[in-house]
Amino acid sequence: MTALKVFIGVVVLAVIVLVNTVVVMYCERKWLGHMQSRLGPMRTGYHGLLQPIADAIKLLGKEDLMPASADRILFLIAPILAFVPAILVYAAMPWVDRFAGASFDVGIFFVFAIAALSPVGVLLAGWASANKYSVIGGFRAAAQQISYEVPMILSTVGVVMLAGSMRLSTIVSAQSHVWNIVTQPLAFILFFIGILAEVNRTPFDIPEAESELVAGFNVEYSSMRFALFFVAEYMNVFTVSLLATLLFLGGWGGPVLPDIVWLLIKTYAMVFTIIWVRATFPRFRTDQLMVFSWKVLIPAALVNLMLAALGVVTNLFVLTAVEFAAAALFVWLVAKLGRTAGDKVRAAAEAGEVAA
Amino acid sequence: MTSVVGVHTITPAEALEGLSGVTDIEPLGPGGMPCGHTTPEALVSAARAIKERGFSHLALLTAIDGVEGSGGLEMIYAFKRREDSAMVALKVRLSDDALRVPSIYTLWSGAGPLEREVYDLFGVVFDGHPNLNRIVLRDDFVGHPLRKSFEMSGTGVSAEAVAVAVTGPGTASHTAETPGAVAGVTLPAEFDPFEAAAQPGDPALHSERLILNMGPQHPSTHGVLHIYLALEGETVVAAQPTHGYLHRCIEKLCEKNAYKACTPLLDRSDYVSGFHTELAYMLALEELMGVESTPKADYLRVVFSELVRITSHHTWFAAVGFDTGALTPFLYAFIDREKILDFFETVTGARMMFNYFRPGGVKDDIQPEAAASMIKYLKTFDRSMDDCVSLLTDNEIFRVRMRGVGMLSRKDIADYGVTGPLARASGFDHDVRRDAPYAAYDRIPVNVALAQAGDTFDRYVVRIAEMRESARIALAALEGLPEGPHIAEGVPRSIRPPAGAAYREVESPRGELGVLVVSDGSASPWRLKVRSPAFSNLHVAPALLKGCRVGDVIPALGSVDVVMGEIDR
Repeated sequence: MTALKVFIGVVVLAVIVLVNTVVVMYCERKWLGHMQSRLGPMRTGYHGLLQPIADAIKLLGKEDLMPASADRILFLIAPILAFVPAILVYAAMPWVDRFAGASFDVGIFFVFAIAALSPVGVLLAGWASANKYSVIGGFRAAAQQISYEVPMILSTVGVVMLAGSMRLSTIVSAQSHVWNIVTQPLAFILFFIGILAEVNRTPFDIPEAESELVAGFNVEYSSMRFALFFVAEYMNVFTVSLLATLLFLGGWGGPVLPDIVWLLIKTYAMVFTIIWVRATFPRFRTDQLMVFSWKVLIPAALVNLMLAALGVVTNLFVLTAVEFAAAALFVWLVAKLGRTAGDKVRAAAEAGEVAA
Repeated sequence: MTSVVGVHTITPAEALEGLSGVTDIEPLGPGGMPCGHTTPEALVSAARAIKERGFSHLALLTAIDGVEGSGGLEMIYAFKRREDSAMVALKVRLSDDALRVPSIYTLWSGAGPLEREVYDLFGVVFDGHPNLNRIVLRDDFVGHPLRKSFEMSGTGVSAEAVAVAVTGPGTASHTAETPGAVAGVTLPAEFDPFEAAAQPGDPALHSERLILNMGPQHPSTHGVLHIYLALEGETVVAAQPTHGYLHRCIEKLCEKNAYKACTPLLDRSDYVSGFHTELAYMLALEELMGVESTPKADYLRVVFSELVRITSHHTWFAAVGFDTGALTPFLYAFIDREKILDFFETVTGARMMFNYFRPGGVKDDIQPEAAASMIKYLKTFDRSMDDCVSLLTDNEIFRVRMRGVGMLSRKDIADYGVTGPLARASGFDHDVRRDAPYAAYDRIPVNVALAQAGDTFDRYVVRIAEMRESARIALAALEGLPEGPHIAEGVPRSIRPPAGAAYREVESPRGELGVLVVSDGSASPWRLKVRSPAFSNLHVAPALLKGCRVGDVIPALGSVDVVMGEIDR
């Protein structure tokens, strides 16, 4: 009986996650289209509503190609290794107060631990394809995801300290009076940058930089194996949006409307922001991305940790005040760095010209 | 920049005087530059002396098959003084049994690829050239197609050569049956990837070098361009462009067509800004025929040259965003480009392949309504440009990606014969429109956008400024459009210019675009050469890309704004 209940629960959960993934795909195409003065898909169904399904059918019907020199076994299991962690994190994700796969005491720890597995699939895919672009893309992806996990996880430690628990539903209920985004804006900024890099989204979509690497680690994949990467990617977008909602936006808390509606509104607001960033920003270069993580984000995350500790020993007002000041300083510093980078090289060139 | 008066007071004719081995100084065509004749032995020293006398830009290097049925061919070199666009030329006469001249590669690195082109198409051997092999044609091609003696039967390639291409490289029959053909893909000797790969890389890291063939099937090499990259980690240690995938024999086809039929062919040379190639051709043709275009046609030529420059820069702007991973500028730029293409369609009937300029004027007059709607659009142009550039210019990530990347020093610019926005971004204050005005540019002032550092960001800034300036010029030309006929009276229907040569330049979106027309008095050109600015700009790539990161390669190349159609022709 228990086994049946677990089975039904898993199926229901998987269906919910996959449906949301499809919705994210559709939203991205439509929203990105409108932001770029396009219509996006219009032909399949009303305003292209059936486009994701059409895409899925098309991908299923394609030939499953494999390069002759590919590492056969690794090539076959890499998409699965990328897909499994993407869906496995939902085991610990609460949707509303009493609806979760499993409510662990170490919920957030579990989520990060599972998410940390996803570079393995990407790296293997890049390596096994025996394509130079894939290899470069795979290495970049692994390096990037490992680098950005550090500030992302560090920035959530403050949230855990304030809630006094790693259980996600406790973190949400701890925000019933004031959301963490208000008390810890710096942490939210760091977390948001971290999740963009974690799911390879613009401006950190370097592993799949189509202008240099064609498509990156998945360039040799086709048919259903490509679809697995593709679905995993959009599932990750939904996952991190949900996670940001739970950690910083008060989860399912909100007046009048039912809990689940609030949760979805906030999550899709995060999805929208991620897509908005994609429509606006160019992409970093690999070395700049690493420098940004290790020299800017990680120190800032450590500072944030100290501020959170200060908040725990004093009160939320003090925390809010210092966090806002720190966030403003952080944004100013990053903007200044961006404006002056490369100026040294330029100044040297101009000086050299004058001398010559 | 040094002013025209002052140091550089010698006239072009004086620059050729007293050079050892240079004789028979005469103008190249009616009203053209002074041209001296020299011998292969005296060529290098004469070129060096001309360079030292201030004519330091190698503007043209090509060959003309023997006119007047004399056999052999003539090498022609044109040199330019960047300060005031004054030009001189040297001709070297070669006989069929000794098609050899010394390479002037040591004086200008940019001469290397140009000499390869002459070798490829004419079979002239350049002594001392570091990597003399084919540049636009296949490596296993047999013959030199711009020679008049080249057989044009069937596919234009001998049966043996076709057989070789089918059998593929490395087979015994390949090397045995086709003397002179090179097996499969030959790598330029200057950069041998296998040699570069064999180098151990960084000893501290125990690393190996990686050879990356970027293109020709690559989504963002801006056309069918192929670059060999030798990578040390993510850093480029050597780069070499290879092209020719888009060679459509335009120059050879022009020799087989009537003068008027050459115009649509030349549209397809630089297909992003067809008006400029057309205009250079018309100017050269008018000089040969002794025809003057009407004032109204002059103004219309300016209007369309500037509008097409805007659309060309729009295409570049779209690519800049795409190269750095920003998708939206692409669509914003294409919305605006589309509006201008609609104007082209209204007036010329075509959106890209115009065939609009004629000797003595333009094909059709502009409709008053079209002119009015153009004026209306151009007045709002600055605002729509603001929308576009606000996506990129002040974006921190964009600046990080662009500033200090892909530096080109003034030495590189001069050495490789780089022109256009690239040269202006490195501080060369030179623009054909202002320095040697053609069409109505003598009546409409041109402000030349300049920058000093010569990095990718400066090229971006210069082009954006040029777009705004182009809109201003086009608006001024439209508002000052004189009355009168749009084409001169009495231009013969069948064009047979008197024998002679004419070389005229225009400022295309990529730089100095020149067309050399050589006539033998018949109904089709004896030789028609397009001096492609993008060709010289592309071949600065080894200097441009060295030291770049892999992620910089595409933005840096994008800032060169290559159009492969014009490079391969």
